[in-house]
Amino acid sequence: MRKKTYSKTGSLTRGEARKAVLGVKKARSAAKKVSGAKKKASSWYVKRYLGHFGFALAAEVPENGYGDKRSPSKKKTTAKKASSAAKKYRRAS
Amino acid sequence: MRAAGVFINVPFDKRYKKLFDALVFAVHDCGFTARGAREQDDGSQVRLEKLFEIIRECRYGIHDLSRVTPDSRYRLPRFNMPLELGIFLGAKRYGGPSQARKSCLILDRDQYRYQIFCSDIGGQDIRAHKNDARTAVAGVRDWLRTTSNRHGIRGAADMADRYVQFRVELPAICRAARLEMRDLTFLDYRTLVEEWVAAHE
Repeated sequence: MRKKTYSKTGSLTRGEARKAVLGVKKARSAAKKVSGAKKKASSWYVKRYLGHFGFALAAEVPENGYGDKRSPSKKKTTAKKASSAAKKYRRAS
Repeated sequence: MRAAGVFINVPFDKRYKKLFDALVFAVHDCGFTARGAREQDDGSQVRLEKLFEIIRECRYGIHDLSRVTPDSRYRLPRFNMPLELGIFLGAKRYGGPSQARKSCLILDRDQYRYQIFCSDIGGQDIRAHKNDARTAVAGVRDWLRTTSNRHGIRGAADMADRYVQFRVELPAICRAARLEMRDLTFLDYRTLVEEWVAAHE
């Protein structure tokens, strides 16, 4: 069972209610700003251009660069390429 | 100046709380003040006297008959709501010119269920809320907009979205105000709603 930690004595005054409501409103608006900024920073546009020109956010450039969006495990290795080329050759002949 | 009062005549049980909270919010978001028997805690005053006083002061009334059903323990229906509706209609009929302008909204779970247990109120406009908070908010909003002819009342969908936002913020507001959300009294809840609506105009 959750522990009750809040006082329940007396009735809430309008001033107290206003303070609580405005406090939460301010906190939520600040949280929204942060989340908006995070979204912007992670957008492909910022990565592509700001990252490209070497401005900020260089740390957000993925390890495999921008050219190939596939994960390293899905990338075709030289052996795979050779194998598929051999298959194609066999079919054609 | 305090906004015009809307007397809320609904059951005060846990099962109805979801709808009750929504009704209070809708009334305040329309620019009125919700009033009910729970706003006074004067043990020396007879309960019915309190009701007479509040009903006299309120031009509008919301009466919910959806819980006029036999309870599981005594197998008897609760008649408080129909009684208070009767007092409201009596005040309107016999209370003189100032009371004749009264207007009320009667809510029920289903549209024509009242005909089985309270057929004398046939001819009144009865709305079904289907135990859904969004439908109840829309019903109160539409009725207050029409009956008060007040401009600037926001749309039902917008109001319902605002109510959802308020419910999301309510736990944090309660923590900030050092109140236990589950044990909020009618007065505390109403004060929080009033301030929230004022801060999010």
